[in-house]
Amino acid sequence: MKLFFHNFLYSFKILLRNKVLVFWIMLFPIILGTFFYLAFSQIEKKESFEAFPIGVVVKDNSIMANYAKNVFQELSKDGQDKIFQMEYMSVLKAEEKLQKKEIVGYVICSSSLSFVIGNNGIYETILKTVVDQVMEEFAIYTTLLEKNEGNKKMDKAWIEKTGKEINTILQKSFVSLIDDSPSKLSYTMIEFYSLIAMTCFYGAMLAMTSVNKNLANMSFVGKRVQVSPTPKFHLIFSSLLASFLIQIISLIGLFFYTTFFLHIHYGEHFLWIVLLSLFGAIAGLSLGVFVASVLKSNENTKIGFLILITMFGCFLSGMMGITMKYLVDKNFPIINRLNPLNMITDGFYSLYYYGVHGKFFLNLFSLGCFSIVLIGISVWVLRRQAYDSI
Amino acid sequence: MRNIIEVNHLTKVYKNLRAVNDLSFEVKEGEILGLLGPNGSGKSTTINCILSLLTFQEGSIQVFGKPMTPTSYASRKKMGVVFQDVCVFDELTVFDNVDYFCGLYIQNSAVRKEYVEDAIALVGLQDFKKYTPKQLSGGLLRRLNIACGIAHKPQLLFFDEPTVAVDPQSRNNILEGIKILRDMGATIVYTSHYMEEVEILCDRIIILDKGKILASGTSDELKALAKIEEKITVEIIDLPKKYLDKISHFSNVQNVTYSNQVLHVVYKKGKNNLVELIDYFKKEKIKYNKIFSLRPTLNDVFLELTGKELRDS
Ligand SMILES: Nc1ncnc2c1ncn2[C@@H]1O[C@H](COP(=O)(O)OP(=O)(O)O)[C@@H](O)[C@H]1O
Ligand SMILES: [Mg+2]
Repeated sequence: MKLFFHNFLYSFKILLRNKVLVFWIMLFPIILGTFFYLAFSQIEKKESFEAFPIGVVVKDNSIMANYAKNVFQELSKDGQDKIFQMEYMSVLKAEEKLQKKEIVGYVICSSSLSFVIGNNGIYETILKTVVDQVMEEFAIYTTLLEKNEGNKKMDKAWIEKTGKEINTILQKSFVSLIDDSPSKLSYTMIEFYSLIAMTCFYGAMLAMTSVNKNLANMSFVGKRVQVSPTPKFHLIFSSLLASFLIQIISLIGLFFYTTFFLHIHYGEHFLWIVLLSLFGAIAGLSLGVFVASVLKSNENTKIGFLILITMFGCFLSGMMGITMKYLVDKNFPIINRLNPLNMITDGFYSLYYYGVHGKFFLNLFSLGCFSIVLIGISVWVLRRQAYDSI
Repeated sequence: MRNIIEVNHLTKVYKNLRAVNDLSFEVKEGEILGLLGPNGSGKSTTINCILSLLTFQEGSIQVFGKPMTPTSYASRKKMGVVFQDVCVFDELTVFDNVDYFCGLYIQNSAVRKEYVEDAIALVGLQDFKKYTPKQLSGGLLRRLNIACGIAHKPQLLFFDEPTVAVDPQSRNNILEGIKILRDMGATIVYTSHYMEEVEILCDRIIILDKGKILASGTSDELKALAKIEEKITVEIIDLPKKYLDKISHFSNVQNVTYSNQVLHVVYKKGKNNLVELIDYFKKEKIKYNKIFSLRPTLNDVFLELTGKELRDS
């Protein structure tokens, strides 16, 4: 026990004195958070939401085309739910207007729905979300129609319901754009979620350093540690605990800073947020242990590797804007299901918008599995006590 | 005297390189055993095998009378290692480094503090306790490396080339320190490719080359293998050829050369060669300036055994 504590204290000291690690895990998230805050609060001020212009091209008289036409009309009605200023036009005309940037994009309604957009921005993302939603609602609508045949007339109530539903979904995704409560940064929330995910995973560098210092084949000091009369796993565990503590401290620091200085509001489910952060931190730690024990290369290469996959994972999960997450979720859902950083980001996201819900637990569960698999492989590799070559 | 280490037919192969080849030797209690050999001769590999850091293909190793395994914690507790590489934490001060490693062996903090101070004093780093490794010169860093390995007062110590790339002052400090440890009763395995060090420090010497033992014994025993007993060098302004022939026919003389006003006489054996030579010069009234006699060195032994020089291999 004394030994455990001895090693724990020194591991803690060693990690905290490592300037590179301290920068990445403690300072970098705060700098990046400040940057997000400054950049996005500017955008939000400038782009307070108003209905934006789109073109609607009706190709034929199919049920889908009619349905979509009606929904877009519904969403362009003056009033609280107005999202678009729509105008019917031909494809040629629409293309021309898009060139001149008079419209953000246009929708082509025929037996299926397609859309063309100018560039990627928040409006385009909204348009995409709406088109996807219309298709989903339409699928439900046709199943209903088949069930009670004969009633082929377009149901006005159904269209209105769809309009409301789309608005609710948009509100959930882009709250501040639609409802203008000033205290919320909301659609930039995803950036802050991925910032937390990033901090969790930068903890991997701490874990990696902590494990390496105990391994004779990974570091010089490891040789000295390994000839000492102490079981290897005992020391690794105590070193990892020290790195976990630092991870927790930096997470608390990040939450504190973003909440009190950047006025980010993380939502009500405090305990669940803590739980998800802990799971995230453990997942990051597991990645570090895995890289330390399985990859045989020098420490700087390993750190570079960890930074690279963390940043890439963050990028895919929406750190540089929700559009990326949206695109990946839609087109390559498997990537984001396996992306541990997205498990964290998405967990927060679903907690915020849907509350404590199956989706949240799925993310927790995935993080748990991720950690168990990596730790399992690492323990298997670390069991070896002597090496072919050091 | 009991054997502290017994190595039997140890063979270690890296991928396709036979770094240690059928090595057998033992280390007796209280002695300093020197492993002498050029770079790449397998000294570090042998030590790492004994320490159970490396797996090996054949042979067996016993330490303190028990087979050595990675989990021989009872034996490990009594062992200390000074690795060839400097194995310290850049983030910790001199004191903390020694304290950390010592703490892996000694849990009682009062005892440990005393031990750490002792180790720091032994290597003469008292004035540098608060320094970090990055602030230390090469020689001081090596001394810190030693302090980290010996602080827990082990009975069995390994020093793997502790004096490589070290200034003369640090080297003397290190060699003195090792003698003190031996006098306190430690058994020591010392490796080096500097023959002078091994010669003055070690009770017994094993000469290694390409993973094999070439010869072993005390330094006198080894020198007997050199097949020469003495080299006498004399500075003489002018030495006519007839004298040279005369000298080369003295008993025991193996070889005589004279060039650049320097005469070299190599003797196979014999005790009073120098006296005999001086008497002869006197008798023939030959004037000479300097005269000195060299006993063979371990380098001559190595040269004799391998045909190459120890220094430049
Ligand atoms: N990890 C390794 N992988 C492959 N070859 C090695 C390794 N370590 C040492 N060697 C080789 O084994 C031989 C013995 O090396 P070593 O034991 O370090 O010699 P010494 O300590 O006497 O200088 C050398 O030829 C060296 O190149
Ligand atoms: Mg060596």
